[in-house]
Amino acid sequence: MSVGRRRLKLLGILMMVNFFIYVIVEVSKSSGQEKNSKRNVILPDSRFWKKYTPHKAYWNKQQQKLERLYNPVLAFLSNMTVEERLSSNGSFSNYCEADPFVASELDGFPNLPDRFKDFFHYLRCRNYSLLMDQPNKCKHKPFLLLAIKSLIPHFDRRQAIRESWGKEMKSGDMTVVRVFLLGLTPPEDHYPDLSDMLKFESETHQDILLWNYRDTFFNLTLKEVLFLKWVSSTCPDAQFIFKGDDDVFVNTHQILDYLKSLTKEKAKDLFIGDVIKDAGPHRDKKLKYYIPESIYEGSYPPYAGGGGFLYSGDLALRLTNISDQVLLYPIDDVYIGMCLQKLGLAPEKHKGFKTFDIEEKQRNNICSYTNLMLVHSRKPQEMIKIWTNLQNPHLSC
Amino acid sequence: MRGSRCLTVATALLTLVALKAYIEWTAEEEERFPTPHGAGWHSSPITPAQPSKEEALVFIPQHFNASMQQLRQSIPRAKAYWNEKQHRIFRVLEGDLEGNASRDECFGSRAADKASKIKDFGSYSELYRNFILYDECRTFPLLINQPTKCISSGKNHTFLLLAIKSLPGNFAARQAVRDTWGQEGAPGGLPIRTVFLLGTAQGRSGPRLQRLVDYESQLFGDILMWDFEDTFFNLTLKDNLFLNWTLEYCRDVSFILKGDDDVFINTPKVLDYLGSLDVQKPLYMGQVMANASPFRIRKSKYYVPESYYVGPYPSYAGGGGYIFSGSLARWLHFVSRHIAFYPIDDVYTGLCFQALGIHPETHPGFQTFDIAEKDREDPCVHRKLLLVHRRSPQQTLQLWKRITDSELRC
Repeated sequence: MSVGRRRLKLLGILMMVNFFIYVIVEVSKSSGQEKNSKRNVILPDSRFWKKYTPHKAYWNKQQQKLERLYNPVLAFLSNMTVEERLSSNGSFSNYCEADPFVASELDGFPNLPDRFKDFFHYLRCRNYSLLMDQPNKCKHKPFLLLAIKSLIPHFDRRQAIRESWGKEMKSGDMTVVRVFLLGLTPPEDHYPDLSDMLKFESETHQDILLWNYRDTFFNLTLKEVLFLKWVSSTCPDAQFIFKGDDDVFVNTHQILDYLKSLTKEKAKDLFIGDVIKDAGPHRDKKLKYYIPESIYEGSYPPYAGGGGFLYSGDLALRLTNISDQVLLYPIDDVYIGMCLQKLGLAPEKHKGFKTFDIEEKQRNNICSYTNLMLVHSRKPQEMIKIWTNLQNPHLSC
Repeated sequence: MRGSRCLTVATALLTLVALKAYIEWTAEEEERFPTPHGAGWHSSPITPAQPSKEEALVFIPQHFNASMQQLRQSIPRAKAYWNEKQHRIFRVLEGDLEGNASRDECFGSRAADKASKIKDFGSYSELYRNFILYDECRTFPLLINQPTKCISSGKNHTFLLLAIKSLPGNFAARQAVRDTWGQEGAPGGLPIRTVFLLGTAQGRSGPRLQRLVDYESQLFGDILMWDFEDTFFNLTLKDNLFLNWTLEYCRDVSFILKGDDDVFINTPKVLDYLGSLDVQKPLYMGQVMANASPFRIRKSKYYVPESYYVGPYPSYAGGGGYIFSGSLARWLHFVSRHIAFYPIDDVYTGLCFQALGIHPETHPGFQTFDIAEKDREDPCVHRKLLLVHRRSPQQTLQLWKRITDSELRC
């Protein structure tokens, strides 16, 4: 054998060995993900992928398209990265002109109520700028961030929250900070102009986040997404986040006690609230939550009622990432349920969240508030009264 | 030989690629992919749904004694707190009894005495008990004043003063009124001025909105705020304090419209109507409640216990909104000192007018119980009305825009 042939042979053998090592590493990597499965070979008893069946309802259909864009195999096959695929389909990310195709693709579009038309025209637009920011809010790595969904005219509710359960505090190494989440209430929606008053309020209290989008019921999802982005950019070190409405009463002490008692493991994926399971879209046109068949089909994933829920800062960051892969849905709490599902998580029910209020005869009894976490709904004066009574050191329940 | 080796290598390569694709595919559900950064989150904002955006007044109650007597007769001499209290005042007025009719006592010093007069005082709500304990207290400091409100009309005296009962927290309602039917000005040469009447934010149980209200007053100059707890039963007090203010700062006003901040007023039509009237003639006009009597349903906001008042109500104009002559302010103020405060403000005003011998005049343009549901969005229907209760701030802005639209044909 000549030297040349021997070298070639050696090279061939080396290459084969290399391939072999590669194969072994890849296979062990994938089986390593199922360490607990006792090394048994799992034989699928049915197809292990979902057969592609196109949806009929508009939202489902668009979501399916979005998922295909994020599908790495499809990206691989088309010789592009997911990012490249997304940017080549510009209309799928942050498209902020009125969508010209929705009218033809969504059945019965002309007869839909205006709120649906507005929502679906701008379904893909998410980059609204912050008009009022609180960049230093989380300087001291808060233990708990209270984020309260409010509307510009609700000055009295915000003030009552500041004076009661939403007080910013520092006990030991734990800080609690507060922000109110607002959108614009523009003259087109026939709102009076209260911008001067809001500016004054914001300067006084430093707790207003205002984005330049229309604050409507359907846009609460946008509020959610924008808030999550704010958390990852300005408050990524918050350990826990409570997000709720401005007409709920929250027993902040109870929440803090609960959070302190959590194990590290449980804390990481924490998401609790008043969980609604096996729900689906409402089909009664008169309801605020009405969603027509032409828009959404199927049931909802488990979700925590939007009145208020509690989750970890770590999860917030993961939710921010995954939210890009879920199209905006008109009902905000269902949307978060969808994002959680995509992360392979589900919200957990906690009986301290009373979003449907407590028994009427118990409402004036202060002892019924000591063990709960949240109750909906309370007026501003009631919030202050309940809070003041809860602080009473002689309270014996 | 070389060819078959190449084939082996190529096959191995392909198998590997397929294997990798398979592994990634199966791992897809667990694996998270980083979010694309090309989405342009920080790019410049595009906002699709963004807001692309006196002369001396001649009225003197001529039959004052007679009308006072009439009022006296209409109030049954029953064993009820208010009835007894008022009859005592009548006797003082006649000189039968010694005492001071216009007592102004603010310390609730006779609390025990008052409580003992009502057998079921303990079962009264806290609001009621507080009202009764302090019902002789009529002096409260003015925290925010607008002393030049009526002078600013210039040479012409203020024709119409809109006095709107509001609550500190109702910022949106006030702004909607300012932006619409409560705009100050002098349309047709008849100067209009607007004031909002406020107490303090719900007393001890806050929220503390004082700073924000102060700021609002600086911006708009239309807030009157007194240092009393702004509750439903204190509306009578609010009325009375406003009368004091009017006598001091807006004595020459021709007409006063008192209303709630959640009504819709067709100001142009009100002006048209008032402009056609004889200013000399005393006016007390609104939606008249005749033959009314106290509510006895405990849960009602208007509930009056039987141990508090027994008897019919005088005819009165519903408190959502009514108009009276500015010249009557001083007489109302005068007579109010001889009538015990009553927890329902419009009934109290009715009692005072009855004592003056003035009967409320009804006008179909006042719809304090709202109009038929199908007409509530109809600008043409609203153009014919003077006042309707109730409209939210958003409805008010929308309606105003529509009824003032010069292209509206009705």
